[in-house]
Amino acid sequence: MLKLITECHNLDNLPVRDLIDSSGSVSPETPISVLAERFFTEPELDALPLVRDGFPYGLAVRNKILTTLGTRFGFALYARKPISAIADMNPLLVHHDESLNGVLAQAMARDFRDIYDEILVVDEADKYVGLLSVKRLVIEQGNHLAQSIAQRRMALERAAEMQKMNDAKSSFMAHITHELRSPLHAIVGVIELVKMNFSQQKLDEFPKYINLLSTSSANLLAIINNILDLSKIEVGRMDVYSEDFVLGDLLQEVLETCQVLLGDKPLTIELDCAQPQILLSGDRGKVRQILLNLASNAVKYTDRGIITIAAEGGSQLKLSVKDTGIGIRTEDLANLFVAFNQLEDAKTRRYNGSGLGLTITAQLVQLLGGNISVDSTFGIGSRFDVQLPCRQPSQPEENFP
Amino acid sequence: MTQPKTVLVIDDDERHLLTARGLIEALGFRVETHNSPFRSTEKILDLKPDLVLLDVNMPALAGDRLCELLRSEPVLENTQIYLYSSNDEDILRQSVRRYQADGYICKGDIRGMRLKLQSLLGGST
Repeated sequence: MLKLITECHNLDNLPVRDLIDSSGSVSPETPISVLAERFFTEPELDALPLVRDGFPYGLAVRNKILTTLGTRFGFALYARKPISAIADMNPLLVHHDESLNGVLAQAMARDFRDIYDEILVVDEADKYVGLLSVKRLVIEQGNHLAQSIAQRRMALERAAEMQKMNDAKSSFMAHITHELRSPLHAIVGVIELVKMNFSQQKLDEFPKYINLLSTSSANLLAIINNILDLSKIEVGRMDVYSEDFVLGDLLQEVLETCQVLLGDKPLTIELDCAQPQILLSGDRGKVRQILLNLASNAVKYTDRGIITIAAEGGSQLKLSVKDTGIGIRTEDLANLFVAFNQLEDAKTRRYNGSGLGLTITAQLVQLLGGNISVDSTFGIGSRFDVQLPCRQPSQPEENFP
Repeated sequence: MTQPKTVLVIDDDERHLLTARGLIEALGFRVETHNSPFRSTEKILDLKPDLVLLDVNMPALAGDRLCELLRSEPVLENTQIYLYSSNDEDILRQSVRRYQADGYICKGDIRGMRLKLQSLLGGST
């Protein structure tokens, strides 16, 4: 991107080679009358180079030749003479590797009457290769400038976007730093208390301390796992496995984990599954993680009421988690699954966690080829729905029409 | 024997309230806790603590903002307010300047916390 801009922006590097017109030339001995005839019959012909043996000798410019001939006795005086008598025998010569800007600078440095005269181009051996039209060079220069301004604007926009992304990443880093340290600092603090109390043989607080150590370490581990998962997904290193599993067992597992997270909140978790015995084939680990992320979120954001975890197996596995929690504001719904965007300011967040759970969930759903949707009313509750393509091992694919 | 100095810890995370209480009480100070930025002004006015430890990452009202609000209370002119956080020290230093806190204490640095509290409130151990 940057390279492209420098190339196009810097006209000093743009060789004139491509702008050369090498359509025709005449010998310096050509009679003026012959040339005049050509200028009369070819209105597009602005100039003709005088070339002999491949080497440039001069330049016959249309309006100059015709003006000379048009003066009093001009035609009578000159018509039979060779063109070299009245042509410009010292025209501007440039090398074909010279840059557009360099050539234009030389052209513009000429006497004002010659400024728009064509320029002769020669190669390494000083042989004539073609003519350059100053008008064409000026137009090219204008085009390139306009293009480079557009490209510069684009580059600035791109840079602003990158800056925004960088800001999001550094706010993400600040956020993650706090989220990693906070449970660790709790652990460090509790261990210090354990040491202090142990030295005084005060053991009555120990069950509480051990409980704190266990929840804080679990909390820290979950955050670290989330970060690692997200980076694995981001670099495309996450593989999808397939195995057979019983839907009901998986639900039970998720339920048990959630009961632990629940603590002493006045909250009921219900399972809703018509066929818990159904055998499914899919990436059990990821399905479990998706469901657990949604269910643990529900536990986190719900202070009282009911959480319903529903599942229905078939050619599609339909999962849903419904809660009576704080809900999500309409304006926040759009960015709910977007990495970085969903992160609130670390300082005003209401709940602990890496803030990556939903991002990871959505990425996992995508990885498994399913889709996820959310329906939420702020203050009333949320409902997350997931559909995943699924297969029942008892009904192999071949049996489907 | 003079009244022990009082430290008020304001933090929404109960784990940090528990560890702060245990660690600071062991230094011989009286510890009171408050688990939300709300009603903290009342709590401070009521308690008149010698020092407030204020968590920065709190729900709805960030601790550093709260500090700014507390600073505008003339009655609390002599109350020392320290930010207490797991945030990066650079960020904390900036917050201290911006919100006119008296300083900061890092949550994980127990030795640092002990030294700072002892030098601020007088060593009693």
